[in-house]
Amino acid sequence: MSTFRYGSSVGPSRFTGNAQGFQEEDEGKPVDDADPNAIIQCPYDKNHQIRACRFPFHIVKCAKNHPELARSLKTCPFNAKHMVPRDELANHIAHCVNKQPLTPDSEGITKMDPKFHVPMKWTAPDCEEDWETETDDNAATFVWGVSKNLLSVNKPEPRATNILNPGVRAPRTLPWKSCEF
Amino acid sequence: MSGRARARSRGRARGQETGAPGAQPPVPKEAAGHVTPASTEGELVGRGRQRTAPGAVSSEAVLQISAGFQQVKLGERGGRRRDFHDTGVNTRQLMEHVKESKTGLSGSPIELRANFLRLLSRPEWVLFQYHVNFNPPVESRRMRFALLNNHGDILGKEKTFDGAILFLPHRLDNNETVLWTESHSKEKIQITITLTNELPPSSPVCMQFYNIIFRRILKILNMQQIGRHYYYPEDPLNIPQHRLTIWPGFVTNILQYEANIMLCLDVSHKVLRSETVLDFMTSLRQQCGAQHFVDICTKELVGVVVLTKYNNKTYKIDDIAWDHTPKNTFKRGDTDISFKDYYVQQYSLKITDENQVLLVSHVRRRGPSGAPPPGPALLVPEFCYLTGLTAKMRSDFNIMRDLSTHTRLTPEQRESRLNRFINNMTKNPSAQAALSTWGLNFESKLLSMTGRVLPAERILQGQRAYEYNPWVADWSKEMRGLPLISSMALENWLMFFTRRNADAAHSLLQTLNKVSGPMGIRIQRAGMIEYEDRPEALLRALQQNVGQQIQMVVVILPTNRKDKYDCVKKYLCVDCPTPSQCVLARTLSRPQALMTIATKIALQINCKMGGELWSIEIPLKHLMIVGIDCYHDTSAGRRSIGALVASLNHGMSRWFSKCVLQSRGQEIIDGLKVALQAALKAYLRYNKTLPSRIIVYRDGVGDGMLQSVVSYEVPQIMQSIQAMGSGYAPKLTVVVVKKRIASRFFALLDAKLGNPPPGTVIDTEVTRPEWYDFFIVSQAVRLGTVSPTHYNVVYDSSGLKPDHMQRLTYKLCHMYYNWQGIVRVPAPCQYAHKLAFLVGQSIHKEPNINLDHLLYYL
Repeated sequence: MSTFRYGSSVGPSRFTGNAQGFQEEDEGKPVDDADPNAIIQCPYDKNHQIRACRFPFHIVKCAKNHPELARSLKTCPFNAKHMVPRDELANHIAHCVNKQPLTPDSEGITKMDPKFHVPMKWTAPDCEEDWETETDDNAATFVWGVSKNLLSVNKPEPRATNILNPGVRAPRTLPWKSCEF
Repeated sequence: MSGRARARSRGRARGQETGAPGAQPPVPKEAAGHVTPASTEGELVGRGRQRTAPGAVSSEAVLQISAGFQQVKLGERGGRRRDFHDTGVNTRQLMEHVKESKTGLSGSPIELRANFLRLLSRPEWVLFQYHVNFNPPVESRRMRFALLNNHGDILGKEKTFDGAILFLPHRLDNNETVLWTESHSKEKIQITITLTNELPPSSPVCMQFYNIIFRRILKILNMQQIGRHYYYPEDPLNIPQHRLTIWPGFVTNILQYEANIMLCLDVSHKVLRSETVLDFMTSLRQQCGAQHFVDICTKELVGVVVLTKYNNKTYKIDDIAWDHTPKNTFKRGDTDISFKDYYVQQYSLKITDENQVLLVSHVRRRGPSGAPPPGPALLVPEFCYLTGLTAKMRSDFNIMRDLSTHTRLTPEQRESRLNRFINNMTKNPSAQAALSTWGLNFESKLLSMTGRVLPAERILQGQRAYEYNPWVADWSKEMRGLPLISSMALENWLMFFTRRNADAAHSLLQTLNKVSGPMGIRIQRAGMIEYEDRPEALLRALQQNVGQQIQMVVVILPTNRKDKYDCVKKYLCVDCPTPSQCVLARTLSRPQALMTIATKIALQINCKMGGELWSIEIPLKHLMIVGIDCYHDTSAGRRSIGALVASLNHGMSRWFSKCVLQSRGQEIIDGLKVALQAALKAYLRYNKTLPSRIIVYRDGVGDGMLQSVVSYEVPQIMQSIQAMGSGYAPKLTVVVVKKRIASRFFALLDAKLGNPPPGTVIDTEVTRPEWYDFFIVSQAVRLGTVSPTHYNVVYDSSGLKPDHMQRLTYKLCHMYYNWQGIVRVPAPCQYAHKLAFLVGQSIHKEPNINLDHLLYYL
């Protein structure tokens, strides 16, 4: 792994919102950013050109094949389809096509109209029960990263399916899992 | 994208993988380039087998074995497998507190029958899995079936073969059997059949196997497959006055449930139209005349799905071949044959009208791998039956009423329909033979089990609290005359009406004044504005009159035409943010109902402006409930909308909302991060603190999309929480809500089957062992069978007891302000659905930020 090329199956490919080739072909036409068939480049493998509607399903699967690359890529806060290398994230956020002001006061573009500010006057009376005291404190606490790992691994329960002599058995590894980088 | 289409493409990927079973699989490129296989990793041959002796088994490897099994799937002959049941998504084991038990305690037990049948098999039952290898390799699947069928004497009568994997109910004499056979071209072919596995009854491969066997039984019982389900064409129900035919049928699946492998069996109906495309075209030509016929016909028919009864297949019409008739010829094999002759020869069907044009359907299915895709199919209109209900038929009250008398079954009717099917199955000798050769059998009665009925909730309304009748699940009577929690005074508001509806407008105003007093709403006189009955005139009237100070706009619409409604909502939700209420003139037409209608309108106006109607006890502090739903309408070619609604206060009476516009037909949401962050900031603004618990209810997840929600949306939720600050670590729970399920429950009350009462919780037997899931029957229905809602907790770090989780969910079903009763899903999901629907149907844009914390979308 001495050479690290962009766009190869081991390096991140450039993010393109719409397929570049498609844009060039029908120039003049407005770009339809809601087209489910627009081709998007997979961030993990340059050979994967994915239709927009399949993209969320694809990157979940493809991330398993590229665990290291998956860790180095960051997701854009505005659109989870945009995955960029960590150091380019700030630049991407500044120019993201899906950028939008978060709240009225955060960007100052639209000031909150006072007529819509309805204060909350009512507070609920105290309950007879308190479920907080009955919670299971042994439950895994929320730790960023660790919990995410657990989710993505999603280990299936081991099952004893083989009662045969060692000569014949199910594969220990699947061909696409046997290759590690 | 629909779940079906998504699953179809997954099936295709697998099809490629099995492209050449038996042949040596190509070594993965990366492996060839960089990695020399470790010594313990033997050479992999075919699927599901390894020839060299394995080394020591590490725990990792054991995990991968079962992972492998989940990916090894077998196909029915010619079919493609799809995973609609989300098998292999194991979310429960990551939640420590529900590993042992996920059942609740509270409530009183109730005896139930569920539409499940246990699958019975001998205790030592095993399925023998063989790998079949052809040498020299045989490409065609059909050929492989034929070659293997030559050896019925050795393999026995019953077998299941998908081209590479062979299942047998018995063990062959040797672990490796070598057979020789001759192909058509007199080529000697060696078939090696090797035992790879003995599968226990609960293995995932067996589940697929049971379903395949069961589908065979349905075929034996003369049922026909349409889409995913099977129907009886021989026992149709006709509704001649609407030219409709209903085929009764069943939705079936066999899965591993909590303790047993069971068959879930539910009644389903297919509505067919007894009208061919030719009939439709003829009547259309009469209606609109020959001049516009081509245009109108194209517009009406393109995109419609038709059923051809001769082969029982459905096609989507993509075009009409105006220059083709049945006299045209096509190439069949090597000879040219006309459509007319083809139908006589192939199906012995005679075409009566020789001058009809043909329909074009681009067949999407791919041919054999490598071959060019098959061309478009040309269909004869005379043999094509229209399917489905058009929007016009759906809105026709008479049609829908006549349909529902046939399709809406009471619990007793439903049960007897299921029992009749079970009887048919047990009495049919060939169906029994098909089952017994495999050593399988179904229990002949519906599963009986116990559920729990949660106590009715107390509704809090200001200082007062009351209970409702638990069977009715509605408190509109109890609410009468009580002041609301908080009401907004209507000081500066407008009412728009047309000249014809001036009387209706004035009587509505009077009645509103009458009913609002007891509720505690102060109403000043409205500005009354007349508009002309045209969308442009209405828009102009809005632009001229709705100013900065206006709190509320009420518009009385003369007809339920969508354009005027859209125009009001578009202007008042985007350009000039103001809560608005549209009222159809027809609803105001009956004077005796006006009080009830006005009460409902007053309540709705009040909560659209930020008022609070009622509340319930929530025994958790600093809790934020989030509801997510999406709207998508593929046919209209509109963007799909994801909507997020989040609670702002402890009483769950105020909600924040945000929309995400997405590409067309997309159900998985990309922009959750921004939406949730905005919700958290709004919570902080109102409560001066961030929530310590977040519970997300995600609705609108299609069949087979669970994995994507877990691994695509849950990380987005977590990242947005993380972005709120490094020290912020709330407890998070994500629940997937599903309304369209096949499970049904019947309560046994006074020896009679009826619907279970609202609040019935089912968390044993029919749940799935790999999930933390439960069912709640929350609403009450007067007609037909109630359908339960399925809740699947896919992520939970809160440590809440399952009992509390269930009760909280049920409590939230009480909080939907547009209905003074219990609804089918938690209120945030219903709100999110409503918002997504409004934006997707009418606005098509992001609503104004100023409205974000009002329930303007009700």
